[in-house]
Amino acid sequence: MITQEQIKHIARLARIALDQDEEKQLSDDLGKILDYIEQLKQVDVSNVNPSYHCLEQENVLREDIAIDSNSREKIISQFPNSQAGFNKVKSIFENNDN
Amino acid sequence: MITNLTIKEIQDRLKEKKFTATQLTDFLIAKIEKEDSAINSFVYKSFDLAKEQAKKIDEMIDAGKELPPLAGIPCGIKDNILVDGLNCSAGSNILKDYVASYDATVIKKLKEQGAIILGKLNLDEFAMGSSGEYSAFGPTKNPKDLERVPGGSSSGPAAAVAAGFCQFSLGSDTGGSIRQPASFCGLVGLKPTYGAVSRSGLISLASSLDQIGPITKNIDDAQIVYQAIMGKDALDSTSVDKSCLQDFDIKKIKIGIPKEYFVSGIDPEVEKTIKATIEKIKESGADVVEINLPYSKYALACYQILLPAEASANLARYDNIRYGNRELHSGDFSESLEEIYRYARQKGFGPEVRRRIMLGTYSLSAGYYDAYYLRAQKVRTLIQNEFRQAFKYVDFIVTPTCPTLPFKLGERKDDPVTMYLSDLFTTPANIAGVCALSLPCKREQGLPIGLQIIGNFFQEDKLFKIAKIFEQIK
Repeated sequence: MITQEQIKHIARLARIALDQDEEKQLSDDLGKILDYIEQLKQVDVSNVNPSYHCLEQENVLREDIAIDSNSREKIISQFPNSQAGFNKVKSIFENNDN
Repeated sequence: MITNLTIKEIQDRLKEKKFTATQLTDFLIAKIEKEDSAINSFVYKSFDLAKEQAKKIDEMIDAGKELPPLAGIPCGIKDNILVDGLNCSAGSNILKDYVASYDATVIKKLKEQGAIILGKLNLDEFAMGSSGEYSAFGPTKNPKDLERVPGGSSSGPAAAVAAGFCQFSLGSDTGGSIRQPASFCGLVGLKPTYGAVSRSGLISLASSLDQIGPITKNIDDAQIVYQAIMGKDALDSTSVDKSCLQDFDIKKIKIGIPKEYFVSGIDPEVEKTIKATIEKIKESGADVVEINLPYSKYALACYQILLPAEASANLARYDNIRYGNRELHSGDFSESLEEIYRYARQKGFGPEVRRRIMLGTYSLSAGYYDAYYLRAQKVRTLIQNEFRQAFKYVDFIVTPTCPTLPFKLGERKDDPVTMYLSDLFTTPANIAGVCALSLPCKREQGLPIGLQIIGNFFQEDKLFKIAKIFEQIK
């Protein structure tokens, strides 16, 4: 069970706005999916190491060398809101006068 | 009909000048323009690029130059793989205006090989789905039966090949997204071993599971495309160079049938067809044995934790600030930055993507990590060990690709748990990391049914050989 309060909290962590109908729907849907996932509790995982993917790999290292990507203009052209080649965003520092 | 030829047959005809690459491309462009409105497999068409590429191949042929294996072969690309200068939406409203600034490594390789790119193909949003219905660009229809889904998430790649719009396509497979649509559309689909193909330039879903692979009309074509795209890449540190070229005799091959895959939930028609196919495999001389994969039944539940968790982290980058959807950018600076993010992500993501991000965020949140993600990672170890053990005794594992026939549009759309059951037989190969392929069963009539052949780590070449033998069984 996931309460609507929990849904609100998760939505804030996930940076997603939800309307009330969606909160209700998600609490139902997530509840059902978590019920299905419950079966993993039947598996004895004591003394089992977690695996993060399937390759038995060491760290992969390379020299840190700058390369020219020639993509500056292409990237700037993607900004939804830009001015003079800069990406325009909401200021993130509060104005603190005291 | 050009659409019934193999890659090699097309190249032979190009070399013999039976037709030119430009004529072939123009023929397919006309076909797509005429027929795709009923199927909706293309999200973006790149006909100018295709014509330019075809012209180059014709010049090479005229100059008597040696042709690389994919030269002049028309293809389509799932719209979560970047092609420089083309839109890449991932089937999402949040990336509606995004234009790729570089080629994915697989695309670089296809271009070097002279393949002709006709466009970007529809998919479930961010590759989350099993029917193609979760695309912001509308559902794709199954060309074999327009009332049914083509499978997903590589809905467009499967439908476009099945409709004869292109010779092959590239898809991505995180839990069955190549094999299941290949099965639903009567095609061959390969999920390579994790690490066999570079993922650079693939829009990440679940990074520990994602692989790019081909969807084709036959095994020979799948092998040619796979060999063109595989190999270690400096831009993907999980990619490795490994392959096992070995000849084998069908009479020395042992095939395992896991009994856990023939239990409740499987459609009787699928079961009957797969069992009949297995009988024919026995007759061909292979040693077929029953095996146990007891932990495999937990693969789907394990996947239901790993995928949303990794996806919620991967999709955190879509804030619509650096790229995305211009309409969603309110430009209203009275809101806080956080409100701007929350609005763009509410309007930009569809319900299924939001559902999985929410589930993933929950399972990774403080207090739940051990109970969900860590436990799933441990179950993953058990599933991997089980496959390693099994491959000590058998060369291949054969199962149905999907428990059901292609279902009707709308039938499962609003019920996530039933929708997820489509992935029941395909997720174990992703969790274990091994290679797997779906091959259409021979049927006189009825909807397509896929046979899944699972091979050991990096044994794609061996997998193609056995699949080729099965393909020829009447």
